[in-house]
Amino acid sequence: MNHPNSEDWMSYLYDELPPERRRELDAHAASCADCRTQLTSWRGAMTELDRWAIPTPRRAAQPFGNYARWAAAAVALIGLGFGLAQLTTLRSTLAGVETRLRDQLHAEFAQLSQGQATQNAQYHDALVNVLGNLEAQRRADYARLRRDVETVAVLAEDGLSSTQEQLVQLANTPPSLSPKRN
Amino acid sequence: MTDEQAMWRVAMHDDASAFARLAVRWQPPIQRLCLRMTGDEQLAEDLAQETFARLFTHRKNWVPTARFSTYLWRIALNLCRDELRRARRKFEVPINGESGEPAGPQFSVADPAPDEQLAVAERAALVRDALQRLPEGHRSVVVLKHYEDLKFREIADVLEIPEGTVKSRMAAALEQLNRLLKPALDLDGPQPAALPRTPEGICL
Repeated sequence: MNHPNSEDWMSYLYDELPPERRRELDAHAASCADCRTQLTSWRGAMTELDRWAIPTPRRAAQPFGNYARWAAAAVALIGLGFGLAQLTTLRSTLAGVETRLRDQLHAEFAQLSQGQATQNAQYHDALVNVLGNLEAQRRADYARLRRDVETVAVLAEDGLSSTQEQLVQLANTPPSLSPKRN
Repeated sequence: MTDEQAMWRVAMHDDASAFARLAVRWQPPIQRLCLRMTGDEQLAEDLAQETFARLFTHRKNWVPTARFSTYLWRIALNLCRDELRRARRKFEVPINGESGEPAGPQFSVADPAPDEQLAVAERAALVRDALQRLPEGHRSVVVLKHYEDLKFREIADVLEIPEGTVKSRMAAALEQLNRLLKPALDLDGPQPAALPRTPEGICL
């Protein structure tokens, strides 16, 4: 006889089998003493497990009206300013969560601050570097412009001298005779 | 609003009311899970708080395609596992009410007589102790399946193991529980407290 394996039986015991497969295992159990014994043993353990009943935590037993307090507490947890002093029923849990969140948020904030400081320093260095480059560029541009201006000045002076000499030559040239008229 | 939608709002917009909604909905089952896993009420409360604190601080890690419940169960179980490992290193596994919390008040009874209430509490304590003696991987399966009523497929997702492994662990755990509890329930047999303690659980 092919016995269903323990995986099949677990699905059977916890009612996770399709109806057709379930009927097959029902039929097998009805005809197989070994499997019936095994099933009885497993069911016994399941019954024992049920003996450890945990009452619904008192927090959950509170009316849903406490939702507003939970919400207020959650707001407080992320720093929006609600106090926990008014909480009565959920105080211990929320206080614990608040402490943990506060510590972790402080750590996150410190890390962020440190990261921000590092980033600021990097920005500062980059800014100084850029400004230094701009200043060097400005100096180079100024020098080049000055050279250009000086060149223009020299060329202009040369041109002026040349013109002046031509004017002097022109002034010293005797007036030419009038063309003869026939 | 579904849990996934609420978690999305928490992750994207730091939505406090959505976080509160999730906490209201999930704090009881998470605390129960931690209690079943550790057997210690105070520790379970701390672990449940830590679970939600971690959920919030790691909110940006939330992947919207995943089921919220799977994500949350996994956080809680990882915390329980870390705590159990820490306790094991210190040889301080809380068993038999050693946490200082009396076992009686943890168990609910309708309105029985005091002697009956005591018997119920003692029986529950036996089950609790037997559960703590299971290997952690088996205990996770038992707690998620038997007590929290997850589908085997969901447990496989939470624990990231094949579904068949989940079922075989469940079967093995039930058999082991029977072996652990049988001497205690047998009037002529030794009491479980006399059994050698193995904080890491007994391997089958």
